[in-house]
Amino acid sequence: MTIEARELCFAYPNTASGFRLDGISFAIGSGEPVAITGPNGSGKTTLGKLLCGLLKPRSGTVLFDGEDTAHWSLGQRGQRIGYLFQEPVRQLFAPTVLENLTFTQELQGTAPELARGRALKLLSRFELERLAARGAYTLSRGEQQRLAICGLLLSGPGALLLDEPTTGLDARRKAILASVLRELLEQGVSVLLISHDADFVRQNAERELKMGELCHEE
Amino acid sequence: MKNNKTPIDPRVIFLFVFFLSMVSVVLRDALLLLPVLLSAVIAAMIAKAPAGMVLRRLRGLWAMLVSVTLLQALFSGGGIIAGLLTGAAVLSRLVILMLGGALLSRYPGHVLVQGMLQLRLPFQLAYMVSVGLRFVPQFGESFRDSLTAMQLRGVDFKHLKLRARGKVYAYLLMPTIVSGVRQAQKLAMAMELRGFGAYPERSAYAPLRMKKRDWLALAAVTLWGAALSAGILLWRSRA
Ligand SMILES: Nc1ncnc2c1ncn2[C@@H]1O[C@H](COP(=O)(O)OP(=O)(O)OP(=O)(O)O)[C@@H](O)[C@H]1O
Ligand SMILES: [Mg+2]
Repeated sequence: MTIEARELCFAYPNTASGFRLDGISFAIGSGEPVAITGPNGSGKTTLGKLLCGLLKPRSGTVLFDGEDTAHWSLGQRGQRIGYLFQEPVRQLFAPTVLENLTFTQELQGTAPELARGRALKLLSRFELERLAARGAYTLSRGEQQRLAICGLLLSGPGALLLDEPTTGLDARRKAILASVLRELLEQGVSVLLISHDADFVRQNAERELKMGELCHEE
Repeated sequence: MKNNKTPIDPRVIFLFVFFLSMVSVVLRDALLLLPVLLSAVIAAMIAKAPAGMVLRRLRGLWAMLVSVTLLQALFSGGGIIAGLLTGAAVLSRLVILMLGGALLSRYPGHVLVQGMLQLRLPFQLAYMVSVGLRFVPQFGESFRDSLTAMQLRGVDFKHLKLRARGKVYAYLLMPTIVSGVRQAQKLAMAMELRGFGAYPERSAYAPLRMKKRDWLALAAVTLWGAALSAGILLWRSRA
């Protein structure tokens, strides 16, 4: 899936901080891994939320596969793009690890057995299968992060937007994440990494969008 | 009467808010809740409480509450009018409670704690409440994030069956509750490490004193409470 931002402008309502994004434009091709980098508070998370539709730009457009997404519902966006929150706890709902992956599928009418099978397959990919019956909230930070990523992959999105995906991951799990990302890229899934992890960015992104430069591009 | 430079003694407000919440929890009748709601609104206006801000912060909740209300109205037995009245009662109860919160939110935490202490509440309890109040906006944000995360996972609230909807709402509250409890535990530990509650008696730097204006406000609140109770009782005995 391709993602394109055209002249995005945004400012948070009623804050005195004066933070704003001005005229941000870029395009990401299908199966292209791109990183968004920049110092703390430079607006990476804000830009990510704009792309996913969690925030509405003052002006400008976000296009998925060339289609204007302005009037899409969150559910429609979610099916195209998987968004990892900077705080993964907020993405975990069900009491157990496994249920976190099965409940959305069951709501959408997937047979329980099938849903379970898919969930277990994803869990084992991220080495979480031993934890399937554990409480989701007793997981460590890195485990929660991996579980949240599993949740995103369930619906087979055309693009992934990961806000600090390596926070809390050990070297081995970072490598797993990298290999999963490579597989997805080969299938044409676009990947947008928001990250401070310079090594991970260097190894996994072909292009780096620096917040500072994006803002001044006309 | 309440907007001179120093605000009214918080103890008077406690009494008012306590009465508001009691009445709004006990009453089930939307018509009876109306005068209570009205008094809360008037009090908030007199005190210039940041009611708008409180309501806006809970914006994410609003859409959900209204839709739940409507659904309740449509699906609970007894016809649309009865359902709508039940829904209205739930909503006004919520608004009353939030306005009460808004009235208290004007006071700095230490003043609230001082007020509770002078009402002979244990310090730990008083402190807990004041800390809890401070986390309210954070809860709102956490809840909104979860709501959007759920929608991004493709859960469409409009087209859920009734049973699934209950489950989804319960799930939605989980992350907020869990992170709230976690935060409280961490805070308690940190405070104990720094010697919180090491001495049984606490002295106060600025004890609260009731001034003339406070007594007047207290009288007003008491009168109002008595009148309202009498009115409610009368109405009930008539019906
Ligand atoms: N909800 C909000 N309301 C008002 N201002 C906000 C809000 N969220 C973020 N900001 C401000 O917007 C600016 C950009 O924040 P953002 O979270 O996008 O930065 P970031 O690049 O993701 O930082 P980090 O590297 O710490 O994750 C900051 O100055 C922040 O204070
Ligand atoms: Mg960020």
